[in-house]
Amino acid sequence: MQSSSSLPVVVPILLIGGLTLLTPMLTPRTVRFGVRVPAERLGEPALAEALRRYRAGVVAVTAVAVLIALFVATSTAAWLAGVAVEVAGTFAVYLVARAHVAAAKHEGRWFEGLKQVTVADTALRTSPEPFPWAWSLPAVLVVAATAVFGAVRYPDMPDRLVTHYDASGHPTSYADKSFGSAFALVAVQIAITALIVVLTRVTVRGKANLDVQDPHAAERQRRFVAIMSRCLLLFAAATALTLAVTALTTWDVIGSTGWTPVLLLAPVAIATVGLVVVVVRVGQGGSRLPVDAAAAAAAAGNEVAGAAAGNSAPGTVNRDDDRFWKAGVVYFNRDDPAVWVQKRFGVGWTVNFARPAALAFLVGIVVLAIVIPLLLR
Amino acid sequence: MLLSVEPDGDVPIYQQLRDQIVVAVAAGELAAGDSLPTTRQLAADLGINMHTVNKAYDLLRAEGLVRLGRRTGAVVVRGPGDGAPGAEVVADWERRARTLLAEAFAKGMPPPEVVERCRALLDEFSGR
Repeated sequence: MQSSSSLPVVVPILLIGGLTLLTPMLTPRTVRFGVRVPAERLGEPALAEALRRYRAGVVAVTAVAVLIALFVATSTAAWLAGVAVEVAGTFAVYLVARAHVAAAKHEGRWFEGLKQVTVADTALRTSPEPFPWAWSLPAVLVVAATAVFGAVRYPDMPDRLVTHYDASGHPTSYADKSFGSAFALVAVQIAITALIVVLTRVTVRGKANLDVQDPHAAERQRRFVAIMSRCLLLFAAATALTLAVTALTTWDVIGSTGWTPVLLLAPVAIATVGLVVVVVRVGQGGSRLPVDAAAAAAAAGNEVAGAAAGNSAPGTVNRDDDRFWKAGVVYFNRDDPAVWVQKRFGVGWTVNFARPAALAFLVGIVVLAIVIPLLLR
Repeated sequence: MLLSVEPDGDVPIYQQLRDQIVVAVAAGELAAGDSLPTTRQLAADLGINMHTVNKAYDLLRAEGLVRLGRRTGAVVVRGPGDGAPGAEVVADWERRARTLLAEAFAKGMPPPEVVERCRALLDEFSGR
């Protein structure tokens, strides 16, 4: 009884633990635990030592978090305590690893005498990857189908609609049937789908932080953007599908117990697993993508430009940009007009906290997170 | 094309950008009608101030190499094959070439070697 009900509680902790364990392998090689290092120093023993300690730390923290979730606390408190310990603990382990690398870099003067540059490929902007609008069709179709079905079904809906369920799917609160109570979930569906599509659109056009010491950086960036935008648009469809199933239970089309909770979570769960698999294969900025021979040949044709730009010149490394990354995760650079930047330790995007537009966006998200649950009440 | 800057280098960043674009036009890597990114895009990708990119683009516009649009960024308007430059441009270039040649001569480089090296560089641009 205890173990069967605790099993789902452990899943998010193990998922966070697993991803945290993988993260150092998903970032570009010249950023180690949020610290910029020259490619020539990748063999330094301090880096291997930091990775070893990081792995041991994450495994230990995850074990403690799982034990807390299983045995110490109970019910919702167990879930929250376990996840909180996991998140805070793994971040502390990351900070220790980061300090270890930063100290070695500082003491060894890894950047001394090297030419520090940043590089941009103008082609990424003048002939960008086309945005795959067609891939947003599944999400749009799910939303449209839900709205149409709701409109057709409206006369047959019960007079009281369920607005809340307990964990096992039994109704706990109701609202009188009205256009607002019947279609609130469709409104949420539209808002979330629009948010994911718009975010995908703006983030993939964000700063291309190319690795100067990787001759295929621009090619990786292109493929990263192409793959991630498609995945995120499919993720939007999965989110819309989960909300569609929720709407069906509210409209009394399907029951709320038995298999329904499974059916309800399945789309988002499957999409999340799919996203994790893709992210692990692609890596941040496409850093894990194999660069094929054709792309390598195309890049070789660009060799003169690369040499002229100092791209492949010996002694030329990425600019030491640690000072702009607070704790290696929060980007704050007043000079940089970029609002969306790729994360330093992880896969995906974050914002430049020095940009007012970025702060406005974050405030907007917090407001949405507060307003949407109120609307559904 | 790849543009790279050394933000903490001795040469001002706008000068580094301007110089690379001039070389690209000379080498035919950028031809008339080719676009450069907007000021914001290029500044973001390089992680530098927008004013810096503006300054570089403005220099190139003043030199008659690019045209600036509000949304289009900079567009290259001429290349090596688009006729001889005006007398003013030549005079300005000669003044700066004089300084550069004086450096070579003052430091003891034999004139034939200076000429030979200049020719080699020019041949690089014209692809000979």
